[in-house]
Amino acid sequence: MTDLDELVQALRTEHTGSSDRAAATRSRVMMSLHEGKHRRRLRWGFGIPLAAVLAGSTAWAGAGGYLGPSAQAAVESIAIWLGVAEPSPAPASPSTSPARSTDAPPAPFPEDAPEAAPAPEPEPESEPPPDGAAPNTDTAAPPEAPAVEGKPPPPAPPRGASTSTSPSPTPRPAPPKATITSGGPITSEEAIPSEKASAPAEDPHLVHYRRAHDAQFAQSDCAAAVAGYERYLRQAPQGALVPEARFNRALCLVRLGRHDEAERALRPFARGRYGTYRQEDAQRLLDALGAR
Amino acid sequence: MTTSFTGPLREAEATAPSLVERLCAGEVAAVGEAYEAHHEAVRAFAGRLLGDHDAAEDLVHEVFTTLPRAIRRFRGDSSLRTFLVSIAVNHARHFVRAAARRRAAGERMAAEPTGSSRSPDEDLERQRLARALSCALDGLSLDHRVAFVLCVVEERTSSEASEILGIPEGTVRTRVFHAKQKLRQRLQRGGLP
Repeated sequence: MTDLDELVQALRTEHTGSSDRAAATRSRVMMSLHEGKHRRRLRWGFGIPLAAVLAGSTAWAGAGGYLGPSAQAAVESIAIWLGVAEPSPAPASPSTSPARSTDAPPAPFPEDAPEAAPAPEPEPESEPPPDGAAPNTDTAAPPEAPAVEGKPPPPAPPRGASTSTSPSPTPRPAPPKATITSGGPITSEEAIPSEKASAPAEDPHLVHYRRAHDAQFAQSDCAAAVAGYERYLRQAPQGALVPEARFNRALCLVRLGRHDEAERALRPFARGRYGTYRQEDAQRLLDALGAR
Repeated sequence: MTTSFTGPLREAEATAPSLVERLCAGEVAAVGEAYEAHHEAVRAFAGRLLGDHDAAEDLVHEVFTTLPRAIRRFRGDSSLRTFLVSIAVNHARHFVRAAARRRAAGERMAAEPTGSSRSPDEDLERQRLARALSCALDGLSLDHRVAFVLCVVEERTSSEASEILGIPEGTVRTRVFHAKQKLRQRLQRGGLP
């Protein structure tokens, strides 16, 4: 039987570290390192700019609303994960319940439903014109509403807050939250202004509002403004500027001659769904529209 | 420490940081210098651990190609050579398996020793014994195998082995003890090939 020490001695002597392939291995090491450096350079030279372009275009598409809902959600979740955005409210789930609490997530944009499929007006009592005249259906010369004469008034918070045309989510108090039904027009039972919206969170969808606001007031492009407001309302149904977006959209609809939609949009304001915010303006507009 | 060591040690201490710094800076030439300085030690360890010259060569290549990345973990509390051996230990698992497979295949085919026929008899006998120990080592766990090679074959202190392995000295000694015990049992049971 061979002793373990003898085996160890044999192994030690067999592998002393000298090898006639040492130089070849050195060359192989240096070549691998140079190749690795080259690969890294390629990665930095092409991969990083490519990734930057991809990220930039995704961000642009996300901001412009060109991404699909799933991609949008993915981008948002990445942004939230990275801590660059606050989590947005959960999207509304289709609910069959007619009456909803204020905590339930509202539908993205209830006024879309009547546009897509004209449904009977759920409010039986239509606002009668003050003089009792029949509504003017002539759309050749739509009457200008008082509130949209010249430069329309900027959105303002409902109670006692100063008026501001450039919406900024953090410094200003939030207007009362809209309570919106899924798929149907707003009902008076649902019109409960929320007092919880006193401290608005950073709204990642605010860019849509800003663009729409700019399109409306700076570029006088009401069609683009309506699209922008609707995008904002769809993506931020509980956003801090929902009442402003709804009211400004209504103003744009008036300017575009889409009076029926404008009336539907203005009615909740006139009824006081958002408190006193734009209530009188809305009522005046409705009166004017009714007097067509 | 004897006085004859003082000069080279000081030189080594003086030059080692600069080499490490250059390695940290990603200088490829520094890897070449590290290779020149330490490849024999790394190759010896790799060969003794794997029992296979080809696999040892591959492991040496692996160690020095990963050195630029691994050097970021080098804290300077051990020598660069010790650090290189620890890299070899960390990358050894795959190579040990490959070498063991190759050895097992060689055994099955009753392959002759790799040395040339012109080698003296004692060289052949040494190769046979070395391969016998490598085959016995294949039956150990990697932890026991590494501890045995470091402490018994390479005659490193348990302190040095604990530095390389990042484990307490007591654990090193325990592993060596168990490795020796298992090897003796294995050799008694199976004899030599």
